[in-house]
Amino acid sequence: MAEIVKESLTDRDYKYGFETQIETEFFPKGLSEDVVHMIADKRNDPPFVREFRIKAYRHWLTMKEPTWADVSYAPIDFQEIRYYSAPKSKKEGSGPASLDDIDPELIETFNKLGIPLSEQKRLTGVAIDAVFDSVSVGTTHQEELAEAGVIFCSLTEAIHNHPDLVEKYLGTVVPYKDNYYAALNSAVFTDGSFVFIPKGVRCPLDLSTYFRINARETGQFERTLIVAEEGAYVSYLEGCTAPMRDENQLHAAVVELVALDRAEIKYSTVQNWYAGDKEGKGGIYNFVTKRGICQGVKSKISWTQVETGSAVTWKYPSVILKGDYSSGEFYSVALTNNRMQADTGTKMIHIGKNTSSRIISKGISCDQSINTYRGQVKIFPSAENARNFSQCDSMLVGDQCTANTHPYLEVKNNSALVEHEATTSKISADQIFYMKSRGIDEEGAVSLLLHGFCKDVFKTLPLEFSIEAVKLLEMKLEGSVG
Amino acid sequence: MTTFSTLQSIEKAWAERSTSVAGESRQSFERRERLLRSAIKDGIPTTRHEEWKYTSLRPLVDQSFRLWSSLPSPALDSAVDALVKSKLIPDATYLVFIDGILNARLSSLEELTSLGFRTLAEAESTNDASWWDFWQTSPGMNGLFAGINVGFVRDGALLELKKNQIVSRPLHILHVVTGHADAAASATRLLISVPEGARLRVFEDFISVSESSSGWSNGLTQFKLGPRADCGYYRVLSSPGKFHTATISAVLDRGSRFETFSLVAGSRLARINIDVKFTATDAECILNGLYLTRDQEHVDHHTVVDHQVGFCRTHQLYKGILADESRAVFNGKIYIRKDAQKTEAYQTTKNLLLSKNAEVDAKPQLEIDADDVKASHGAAIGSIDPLELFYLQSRCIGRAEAMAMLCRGFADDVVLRLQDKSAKSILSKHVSQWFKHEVSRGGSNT
Amino acid sequence: MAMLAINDLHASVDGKEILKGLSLSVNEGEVHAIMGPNGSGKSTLSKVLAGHPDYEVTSGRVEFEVNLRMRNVLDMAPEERARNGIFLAYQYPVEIPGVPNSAFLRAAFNAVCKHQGAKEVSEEAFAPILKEKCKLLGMDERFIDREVNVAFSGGEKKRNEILQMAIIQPRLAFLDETDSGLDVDSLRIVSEGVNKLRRQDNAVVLVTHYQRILNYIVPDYVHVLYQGRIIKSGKKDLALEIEEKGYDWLLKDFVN
Repeated sequence: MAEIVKESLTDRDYKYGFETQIETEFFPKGLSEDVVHMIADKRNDPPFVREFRIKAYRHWLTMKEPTWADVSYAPIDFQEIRYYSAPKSKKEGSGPASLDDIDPELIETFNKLGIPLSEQKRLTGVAIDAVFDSVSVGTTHQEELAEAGVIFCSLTEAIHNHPDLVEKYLGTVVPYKDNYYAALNSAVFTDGSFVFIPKGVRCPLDLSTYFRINARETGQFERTLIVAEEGAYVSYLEGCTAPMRDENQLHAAVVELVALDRAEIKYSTVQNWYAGDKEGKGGIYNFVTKRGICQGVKSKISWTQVETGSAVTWKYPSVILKGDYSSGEFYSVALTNNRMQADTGTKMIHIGKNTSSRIISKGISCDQSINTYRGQVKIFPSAENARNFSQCDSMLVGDQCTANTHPYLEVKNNSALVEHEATTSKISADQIFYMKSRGIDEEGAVSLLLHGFCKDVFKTLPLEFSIEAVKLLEMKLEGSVG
Repeated sequence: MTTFSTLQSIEKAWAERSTSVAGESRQSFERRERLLRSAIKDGIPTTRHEEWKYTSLRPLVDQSFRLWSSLPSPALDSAVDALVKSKLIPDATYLVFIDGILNARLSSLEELTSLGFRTLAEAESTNDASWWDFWQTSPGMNGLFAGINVGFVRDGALLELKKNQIVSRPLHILHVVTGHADAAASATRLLISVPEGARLRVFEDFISVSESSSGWSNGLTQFKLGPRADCGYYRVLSSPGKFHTATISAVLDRGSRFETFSLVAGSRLARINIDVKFTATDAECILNGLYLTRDQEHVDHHTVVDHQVGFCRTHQLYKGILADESRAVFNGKIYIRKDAQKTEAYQTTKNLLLSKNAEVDAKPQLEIDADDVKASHGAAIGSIDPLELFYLQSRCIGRAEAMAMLCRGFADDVVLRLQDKSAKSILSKHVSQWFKHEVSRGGSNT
Repeated sequence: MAMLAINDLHASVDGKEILKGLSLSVNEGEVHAIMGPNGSGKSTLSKVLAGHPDYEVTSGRVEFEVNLRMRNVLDMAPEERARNGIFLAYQYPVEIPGVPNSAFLRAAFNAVCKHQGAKEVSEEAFAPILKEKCKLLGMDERFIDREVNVAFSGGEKKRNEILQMAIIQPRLAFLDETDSGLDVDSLRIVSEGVNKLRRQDNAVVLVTHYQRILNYIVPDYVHVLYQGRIIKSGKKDLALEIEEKGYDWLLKDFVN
């Protein structure tokens, strides 16, 4: 993963702003029940998936767009979006049969993003599923994973090759009725990744999905489902980029994680969607529902996110702590600059006995951006001896930005212990100057301050990933501090 | 029906009031109507409304309290008289309201004159529009119960101190809900102006005659602090079984200091909104509170501190002890606006759950638009720390006594922070009373 | 008859066994020192004796003489142990905001009075007692008005522990690393305090990593604790030997 991020993320400008010229097949703009059927036809959906879509669509029609977040944007015209866009493949059907079938242009695109897919060049130690607009274009290391009994493929493939598993878990963690964007996603999702780690298996490789939006006027609605059976372990990484465009594009994904007894899922994201320009023109609307359920005893789900992109972010990776002694973690660094708006945080829902959760959130706001932490800790009467600790710190860079903290603590059991702390600090030109006068260059000074502020989150990322995430943040910060 | 139950019934009560009040100036009528209409424009909020997420008004609405009555205040029986006298703080200046109507006999009207006292009716006849604008647009005045108060309030008081007037005797405002069947919901409005260099301490108590009858008090207390003014405001709600809603607002000028404490030790359902706004630099606000709840009591504090200018300080600590099936809500918001550099704002809430069925919902919030500030908040919810309990036990103290000691210590921790000595001892007594009752009924804390 | 008899004690915390068959016997009037490297189980022993809820005794016996009868300590609640005369001075005394030191000390004193069938004392009657104890230990009376251990320095906390000991007058005082974190002056003051409270019929057990405190409170016996057992016992000289040579020479022969 090191190379990927190093290659792709540390450039001063938004280097992934390029557009791939490729013959693309897409649906006309607009959304209707017919369009949902067209997507189902196109994906060759089995009846249970088609039904799920239609139910979701009908429910979505009854819902209103949420307005409670500290974000504001022009209303989205859902009829002005294309709900399907895919590079034309040589074979029709359910995704690429092998990596050899991928259009060379796509291979080249992912090479440029630092994600080599071809057999010779692919990265060791990490298996990658590459998603381009609405479809998965290829997954590496599948044989090696198969040997361990691990299934890692596009959701489309999974629907066809492992329908029982998909039917058993799809929509169980994030029901289609959950919220406006989850309902929309459930109706029109096109692809995404599927991971299944069988009982007792420790996944031999880190798994990774790389999401790329390319086509104009297209929304990306991917759906990821990760199931870890009893005693299984997996570490999953996610990265995302999109071309620079003047108009906003919608990304409304759903991620569902299921951890059975003693299973552990570690989910890391480096989100670097195009965030719009200095005046706030263009950029991705990142409205994502991510949730995991600690179904079994002593299971564990850990979310780590480094959020540096998107014009507007609305995202709360959550954990339902159902199994006794299960634990949930949320580690987040969210950096906003220019006119970005991020409303992000988590929910820790304690249901089982002796469940514990930990929330470490670091928000950095620069320029005229708005950075909001919103988190809920809920202790049910059944959650004997539940424990939560939350630390939510904000750093302000410049006097034009906003940092908000909105924790919701709801405790219905007196054996629980819930603690929340929040602080505010700043990076000032004075601090940078002081360090410079002690011989530290600007880069070093910003890096020192950033490290100090975010160390609790960085140390939870896979090592190489963390080094590169820091570089990405430093790069974004430097422009704002100077 | 002229009750607080539906929008139509509120309208009806308003119409009834409009016809039964004689001699009211048009300006005054319009001032009242405007705030009432804006408060009820969205109807009576449900728990789907973010500001009412954890507090349902259903129990209050179900009581169908009468909003308006033109009947004169009933004659006081000797029991009420004795109760009032037993509750008065020694050596204070008194202002006593019975079911929302000023009682001249129990109040110290002569001394009040020196505090620039006028009745609300006298104040309302003032035609100075900009003077009224200030009171009508203070922070928190757009709230539901502020509007209901302004619309239907029958009596109240204005106190305008003189510049540099140092008042050494505390002002004790006592509200009594008799639970009298004919009485309307008790509403009073208090306007207190502490101008430049002046100093005043205000104690405001809400009590009730009997626990068995129902009752609702809806208070509105507004403060205006001039430059270097120093004002202490200590409110105690001890009306078991009664409903209470309150709006408290304070606007702070340069270098002023506002110390406030809200103690709730008995109320069926209480919703207390406190709004503080800094309008000039170097002012300080100490915003503390303690709620002690039992049975099915529900206590909700919503505080908003608005730092609009820099170089001001806020220290906020709210604590709660909850027994039985009681429930408490703490929603504290601190705004630090763009120009409020060098602000210091600290907010903490700590809650002790003594029973399995008690519930706390805390929402401590910061909204920061300035970068050179010191701001933090913290929240803790849990039961008695087992290590503290063990420490006391290992010093020979029995479990039950140790629990009681730790609970009391938990409460005193916030009371003892009060700067004002008399406030400290008065509030301490109320806390003691609550604990005495807790011990006598066997307590749920063992 | 011994005052304290610990026999083959096994105890664990979080499922991990720390004490693995510890035996110790203490008589009236004696001073014992329990020494040992970090992680040997010294603090666990102190906490088990006081009845700390985090520590689980898995087997073994702890008996304490009460009115000439040996009684099972492990059956007693923490306050019962304390009232019967077992006192633990904590390595890390707990801070209790809001509870005044004076109220805390009086509650402890009255609990002992009640236990011994004596009359409980009022606030007024207790003040001079407290004053006298402060004087005896050379402590500032302002101590009394502060909240229990809140914003106390390390040395002040340790002195407050000894003040509690003076009020409760235990028969067996277990001092857990009372010397740690103290400068020479504080160490001397605390040690003198302990010495002043010594009598023919009480006993002191010092749990310590270093020999330093033993210069002030001279032990009759020294025990070395390692991996949850006492691996060597001796007289005062043993402590000096440990100071000179460290622990390694003792542990070398002890292969677990």
